[in-house]
Amino acid sequence: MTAWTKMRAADIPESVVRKALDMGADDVICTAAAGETKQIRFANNSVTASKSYSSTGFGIYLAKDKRILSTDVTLPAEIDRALDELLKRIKMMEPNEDYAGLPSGKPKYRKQAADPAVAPLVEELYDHVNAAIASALEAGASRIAGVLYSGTHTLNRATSGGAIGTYSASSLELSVRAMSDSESSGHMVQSATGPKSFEPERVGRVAGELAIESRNPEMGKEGKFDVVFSPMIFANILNHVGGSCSAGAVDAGMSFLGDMVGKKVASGGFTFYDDATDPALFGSVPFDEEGVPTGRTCLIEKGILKGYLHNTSTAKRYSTESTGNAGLVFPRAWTVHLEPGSKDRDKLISQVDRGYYMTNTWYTRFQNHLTGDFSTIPRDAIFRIEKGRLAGPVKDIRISESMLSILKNVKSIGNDPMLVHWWEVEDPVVTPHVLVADVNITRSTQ
Amino acid sequence: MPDEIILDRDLAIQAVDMALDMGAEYAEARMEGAITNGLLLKNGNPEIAGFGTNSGMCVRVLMHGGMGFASTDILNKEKVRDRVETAVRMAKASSRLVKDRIALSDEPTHTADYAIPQKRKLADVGLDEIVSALVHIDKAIVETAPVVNRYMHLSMEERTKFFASSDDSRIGSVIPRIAIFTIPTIKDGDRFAQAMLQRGVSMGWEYMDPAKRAEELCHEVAMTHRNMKEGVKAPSGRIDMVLGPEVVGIAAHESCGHPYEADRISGREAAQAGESFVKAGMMGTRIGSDAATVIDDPTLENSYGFYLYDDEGVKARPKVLIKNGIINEFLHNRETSASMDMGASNGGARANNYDREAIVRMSNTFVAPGDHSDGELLEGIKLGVYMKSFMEWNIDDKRYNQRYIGREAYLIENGRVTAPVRAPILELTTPAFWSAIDAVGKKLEFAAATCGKGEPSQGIPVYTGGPHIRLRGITLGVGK
Repeated sequence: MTAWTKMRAADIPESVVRKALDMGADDVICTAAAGETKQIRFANNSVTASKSYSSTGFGIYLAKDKRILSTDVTLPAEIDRALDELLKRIKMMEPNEDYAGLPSGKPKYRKQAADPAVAPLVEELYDHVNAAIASALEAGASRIAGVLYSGTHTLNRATSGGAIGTYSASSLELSVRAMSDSESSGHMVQSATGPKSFEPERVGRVAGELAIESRNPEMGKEGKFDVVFSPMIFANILNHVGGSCSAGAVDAGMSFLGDMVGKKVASGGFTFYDDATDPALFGSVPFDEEGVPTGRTCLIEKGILKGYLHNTSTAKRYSTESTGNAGLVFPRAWTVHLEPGSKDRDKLISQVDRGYYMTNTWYTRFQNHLTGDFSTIPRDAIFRIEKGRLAGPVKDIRISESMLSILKNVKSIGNDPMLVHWWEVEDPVVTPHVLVADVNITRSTQ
Repeated sequence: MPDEIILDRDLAIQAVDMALDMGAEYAEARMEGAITNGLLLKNGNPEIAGFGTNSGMCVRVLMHGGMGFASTDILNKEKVRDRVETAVRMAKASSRLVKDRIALSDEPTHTADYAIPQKRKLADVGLDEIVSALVHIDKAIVETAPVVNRYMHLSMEERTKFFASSDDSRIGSVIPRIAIFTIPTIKDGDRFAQAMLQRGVSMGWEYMDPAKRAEELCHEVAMTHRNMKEGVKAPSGRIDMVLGPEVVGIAAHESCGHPYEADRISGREAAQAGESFVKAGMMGTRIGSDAATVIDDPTLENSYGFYLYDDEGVKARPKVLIKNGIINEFLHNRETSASMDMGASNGGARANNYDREAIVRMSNTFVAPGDHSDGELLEGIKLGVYMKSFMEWNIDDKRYNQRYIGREAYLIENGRVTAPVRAPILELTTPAFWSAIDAVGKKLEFAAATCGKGEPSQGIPVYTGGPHIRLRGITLGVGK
């Protein structure tokens, strides 16, 4: 037994920081995390797998003479050896000349606690799955697939700058894809923090209705079209915009927003910010990897790029303050939001003389992250728009565009924001429907 | 940190026994431990290094037609019992929503232990040597072309596994893997180009000869720069094409390997990785020309996708997915081979860690070599494009419409490779692609890649590959 094994897990980070400083480290962050996630997968109207992932551990980040090294251990008994190794190996690292240390001070954090109703759920999860499948079938779809997650985790973090923070979080997430035949499908998702706001019937019904509405699609046409994007597909695009707002991505040449602060990067009605401070919203966190409180950071205001997402080191290089977006290595977006407009979906569609309404996408891939040239493949229900109304469903088209063109051609923004987080949207995004003009559509030549 | 992982095999076997005692009809335990090391350079600056050991175990049970899976990173009897109870409880609870009872194919029992020998163990390499190797490669790249940004990551792991099942299979393995990934951004005048370059193998540190790796990567950077700077517009109209092994490999992976995964075909992946335009009834039908043969082979020595037994304890073997243009075989695990009445799995079940379910995956997927020399492939092409490598690519979730944009590409005029061509676009359907092949080169080459699939996503190491191939009568796609 070591001293660590007698200690509460929540108290370990602060003690690890103290010990590492005593051993000669300049800066230290220690994070204790533990949680359990359950997953139920279903396909062809039947549950295909039920899983439970249990994890616990301690992450230790250490800097000495601007050399940075990190490791993870599972058990408290492994901490002493990990600290010895960190201090031994760090001498072999070369200095990170961009490193500017950790922030000092003992910030106060917003309280965030998991919904206690989530952790005990087991049998009830199958009721949710059953409800989602039943409502999609009732809407007329024939084959339903998807996944349901429930999870709770706690995190305790201490830094040598003086930050000590703790929070817990819970989640209930559902993704439903409904098929009505081999060529028509609809997809809907929801991410909640607890059962009160969880709506499996609605998610299943919307997916089922889209599957029915998209039956018997024709081949889509290539060319330039006005496109109304649903939140599911526009969230995928905004996920990449959020990633490109990281100062780390800019520095690595992985952003199309480099050297554009103060410049017009989107249409005048486009205001975009990062905000993970609402504890009722899935994905919120009170502090970042350096212990800096998270906040609301405006990234694009009325089409003008206002700045990037920063940790302490990138902030110093850009002569600004950390935005509370430190990730494990680079600054990261937590939850990006597109400020809603005033029109509903049908009003956006009514503005289009000849175009498409798209409800989901898949495999967004870049030709060049720095220029933002990319293509993505709309999937599930896609519809032609003719003279302001939805016409027949289509298939087999691809968006071949640049990110800046999409942002600059945003013509109208809907009033129906929705949080999207699923397989193709890795970080939560809140966006309404959006109308974009002159979107380039291509398709297979043979 | 330990320089080798010793797994408590008895604990894994006990987990299987516990599950059977609790009523499971089938149970397996997979215990894994990995010694990992990584380093990230950004613009030549050592951002951060990391190291650690990552160990844990999963149990998977079948009960009343339902499947339960539970994992933990705490390897003691008390926690393992808790996990087995959870897997059993969830399998039971799920059975009321299981319309098609989940079953596994009957398989031979195996007892085996294998390891890839390392001339220099990855776990023994000091951080100073890792930094020195990466910095050497980074400097060489900077000296090759006007590179304005670069991101470079080296990852190494030595993964020890033990698999035990209620079928009495007991399989241990030790596989070291090392990979380097870099994205240099080249700027010349007002033009930018990026190359996403990955190299990876299953072997020890002997692979990381800085001079050799630098030479390979610098060649790619130099060619990307030349293509961006000197490339002419791609021709329009119907032309012939020659594709290099890198492009052939991604096409084999994306438009043959993925659509032949039986869990896509059966709809199990419909909400995540998607389904497939290939249906079970298409087995034995023509999808391409006689020249097209595609193989997935996990047993290639030192390949990035190497294994000898899959993560369900099934012995690995090569799978011929397309044989002379005919759909010949799908990729299976024990669940899909049972549901499709295949008799036995062909060993395609893989998981990327102990806390992930083993699902149907590729390993090393490639177009089989033919009998043409590279020169013979060019003969008879009056006007064409040679696409040697690619940058942007994607394919729809049924694997029917695919697109590859050339990074290094050239005009072919009267049987000879002439000027560089800038960003030609190959955008066509899968049957059109495999049907257009009329000749295949002799020399097989591979590229390392990380294949994504599953939920939660499981990036898994694979090779993609092939020889040069020739496509006839292609209309190039249009850009943005």
